[in-house]
Amino acid sequence: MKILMNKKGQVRTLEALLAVAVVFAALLLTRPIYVSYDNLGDYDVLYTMGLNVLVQLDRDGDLGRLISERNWAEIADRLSIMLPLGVSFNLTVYDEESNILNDRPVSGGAINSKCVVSIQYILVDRSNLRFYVIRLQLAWMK
Amino acid sequence: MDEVMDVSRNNSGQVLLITALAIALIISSLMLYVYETSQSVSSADRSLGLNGFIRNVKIGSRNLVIGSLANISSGGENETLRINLQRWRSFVESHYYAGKCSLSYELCEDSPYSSGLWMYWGTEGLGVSSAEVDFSLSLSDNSREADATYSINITTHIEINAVSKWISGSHLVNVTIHLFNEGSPALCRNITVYYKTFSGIWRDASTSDNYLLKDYGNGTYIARFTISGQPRVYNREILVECFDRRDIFVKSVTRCMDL
Repeated sequence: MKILMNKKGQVRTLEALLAVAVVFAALLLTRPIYVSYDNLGDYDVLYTMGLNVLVQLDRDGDLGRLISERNWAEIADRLSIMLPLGVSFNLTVYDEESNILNDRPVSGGAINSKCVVSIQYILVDRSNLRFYVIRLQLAWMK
Repeated sequence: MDEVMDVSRNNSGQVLLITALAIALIISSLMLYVYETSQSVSSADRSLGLNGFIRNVKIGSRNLVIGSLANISSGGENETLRINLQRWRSFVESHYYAGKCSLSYELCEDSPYSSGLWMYWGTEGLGVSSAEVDFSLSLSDNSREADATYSINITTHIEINAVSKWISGSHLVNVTIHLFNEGSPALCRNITVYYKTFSGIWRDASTSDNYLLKDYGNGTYIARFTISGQPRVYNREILVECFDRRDIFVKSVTRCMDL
């Protein structure tokens, strides 16, 4: 009788452990959804930030002028100033025939984060009325 | 009674498991709800992209009209505006990858505009260089559509008035210049003031004696100069040519008020 009671106790313990395992399994299985949700927030912030910076640079036609002057160092400097600390960037400029114009990288920091945002921006240069496509990649620095 | 107790004791483990399953189900439902919410964030994000593109095209259209007006006001063909708009339309439509994109434009024909342009370089102290275009942009992706209509009006105008005082055989001339961009005071990149000589030739005022151009920093400029060694001219004509910071050219002529 005592042995039977002891076995019953072990079964109860096993059942309790199983119940805990079921609850934890549910928590673990739903974890990836949490992660993807967090990344979406990052994406929004980076996208809005990058677009605002490009719009600000383009508002007075400065970005088009700097591109037509091939002044890549100045563009990189301005992006570094306007973007907050902790955000790395890489900018590529294409002409109307999709040729890459920047012969040197226009970047700040290394882009090796899981969440990288790529923003495409089309631009008119007021001075010579040429069109350009800009691709700005942004990521949080590790 | 004992049997009933025994059965309920035997089943208590199963109850525990069922409760655990129920908790797991609640957690899963909660997470699914969070996931659904994140999906709505994702669709908001798509609209962010859509709105971002609209914003991008609006600024590009504005820069295009400014560049075209700068070109035309400096001697370019009026047709430049239409040609550039056509290029811009093709460029925009071919660089939207999320779905369909259609950009159309209409050059303003309301008086005093003609083919989207109004160039008035008058002789009463007013000069206007202006362009107006109405745009319509339609975008769509898998789940959303967006339409935007916007009008771009770029106007640089100048107002000048001049006074002349005849003192000891010389003309002391004061020219007041006001420059505006879209009705708001604006700064000049370059101003040249000319006066008409007794023989009817335009001469650069900066070559005359004591030429001084004062910039008040608020779109107001005053040019002062002395014309000596010439016979007296009543209501002398003054011409002011100006490039604003956007390189749009405007000029106007006025007659001096003799004091």
